[in-house]
Amino acid sequence: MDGKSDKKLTKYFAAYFAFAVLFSVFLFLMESHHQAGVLQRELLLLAGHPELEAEIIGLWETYDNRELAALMQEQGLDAAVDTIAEKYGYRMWFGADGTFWIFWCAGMFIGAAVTAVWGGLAWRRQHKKDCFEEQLGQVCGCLLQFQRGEFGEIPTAQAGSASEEWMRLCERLRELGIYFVQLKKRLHDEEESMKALITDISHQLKTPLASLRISYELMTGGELTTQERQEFQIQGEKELQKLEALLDELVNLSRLETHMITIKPAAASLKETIAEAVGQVYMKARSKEIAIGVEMEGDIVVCHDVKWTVEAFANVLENAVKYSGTHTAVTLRVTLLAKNVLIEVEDEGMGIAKEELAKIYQRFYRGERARELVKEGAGVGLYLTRMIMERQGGTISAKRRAQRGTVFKMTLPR
Amino acid sequence: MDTNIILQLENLVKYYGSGENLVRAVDHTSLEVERGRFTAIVGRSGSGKSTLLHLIGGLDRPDEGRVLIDGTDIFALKDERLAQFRRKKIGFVFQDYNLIASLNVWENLVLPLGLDNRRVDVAEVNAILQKIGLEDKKNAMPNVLSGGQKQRTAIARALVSKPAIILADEPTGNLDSQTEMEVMSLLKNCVQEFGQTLVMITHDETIAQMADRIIEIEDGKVV
Repeated sequence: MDGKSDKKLTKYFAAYFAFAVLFSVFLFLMESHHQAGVLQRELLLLAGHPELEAEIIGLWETYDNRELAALMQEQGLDAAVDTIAEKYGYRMWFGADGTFWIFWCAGMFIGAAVTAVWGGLAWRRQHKKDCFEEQLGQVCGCLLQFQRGEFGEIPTAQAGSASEEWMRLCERLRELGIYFVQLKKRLHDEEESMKALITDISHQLKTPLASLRISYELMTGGELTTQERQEFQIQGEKELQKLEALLDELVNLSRLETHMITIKPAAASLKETIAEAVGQVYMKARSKEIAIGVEMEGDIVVCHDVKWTVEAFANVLENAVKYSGTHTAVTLRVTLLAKNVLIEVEDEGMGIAKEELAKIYQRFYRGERARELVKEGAGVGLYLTRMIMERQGGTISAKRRAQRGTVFKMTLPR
Repeated sequence: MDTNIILQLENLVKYYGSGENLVRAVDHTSLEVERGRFTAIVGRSGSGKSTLLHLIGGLDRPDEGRVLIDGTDIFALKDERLAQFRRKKIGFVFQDYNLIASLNVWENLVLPLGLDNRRVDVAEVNAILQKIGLEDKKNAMPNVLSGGQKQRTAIARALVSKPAIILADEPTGNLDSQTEMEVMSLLKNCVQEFGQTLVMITHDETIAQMADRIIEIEDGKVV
């Protein structure tokens, strides 16, 4: 790069030197031609006005010890010419000899300036080209790096020094890098969560399976009365049912989690969705004499996936029923907000401890008191509900009520 | 540099007063926030969470430590460059909205763009207004808006400059519980849609639950 620019510089110096020589030679030729012209005019004057002959010759004779050619260059000629001009009014030439060097200097200077400007422009062009090549190199390097699976170093544009297009390109590359990183991370996370899911599920299945095995072993152990055998059979039947229910939950969970089922929101009646969700828990509520009230003014069409939203609402309602005492009330209230619809589920149940509020959405998490109160449950419901709500652009959050119980607030965009 | 970490706090310290009255508002706090995540910072009032947010946003300089946003040490920047960086990379949503009373909704939205001579993409701003439900309030002055509408305007303003990170300081502190849900779901939704990172300060556990991650601050420290 340095050697190259040195060579360039030499080139411009050479060009300028050539110009200087040519210009000087040209100017000297011009000057001598001009001087010769002066002499010629003098001779013409002499021919035109023979009466001046004596005068001119006389003047010349002052310098008669000189050669004519030498006289041409001397001040003497000028003086002679001036005298003639003053005496007879013949203006014969315009003095340029003093200004000759000024002309020469100006010419050299202009030449230098033109060379400098020309050189400067060429240098800038070259510089731009170099920069461009360097930038292209950076982009290539960056892409190679992407290919290797590294996304850390992305060329950054210094503000001011780079063009807007280049800045934009850098920005795009950066975003691409970030996208790749996120993609990679998501893949990794998904893999991890899949592993965790498998572990969790097998763990969840162990307990009911163990009790089922005990029932089975006792049943086949012999030396049992018919009545005892029947009791174990009933027990086993119960365990089987629990296992089935758990499996259903797990299947739902894993399907959602692994994106085997996608949530497809479509315009549908919210009232019907709520009615279906309430219907799913109605029998359980009735057996505990819990009244489920729905407060909703008219119907509204909201973009939501009916099947999964029913599941989400039913999970929350089921929890409300499960963790409430008999003769209490569960209220579902729908309120329209500017860009959302708010669905609140209030209960008068056991409530959720403040420290547990943020944990209840974790997969397979069950609160301490919840576990004491109700044996069944895998801690999947709220986890699923949150996933369903959030995938539709909604939210869910729980709040402790002032007296007792909990209110779950869910939103769906409308 | 890990590109997936958008915000990194390194040993951040900010003390106020001295001697007996020394307040350790932020006391050697280190923290990393992943891109695209919603992080809630919770703590009692006086726990130093607001000071922390001000440091993250470059509104206040720390006594010690660094704040890296997208790999840039923001306090290594000169004041003017910091202000520019802040306008480009960070969106703020405050409890008391901080709208400019003499400008209408639209003007409030595009003002940050104007400060940096950035072009206003009318269609885009309209799309944000539509998303946030304020398309018919474009020409309204802030004083005729309800609290929820004001906060939605503030959210829209934060979104318009397409920042990588949005810092919200008790965004629903002045709102009733229904409007709170509305504002929160809009904020959460928009941030998710535009792939932004949301860092929010709150003392309300109902709001904090919606976050992907909850960080608790006590006496200027992460617990």
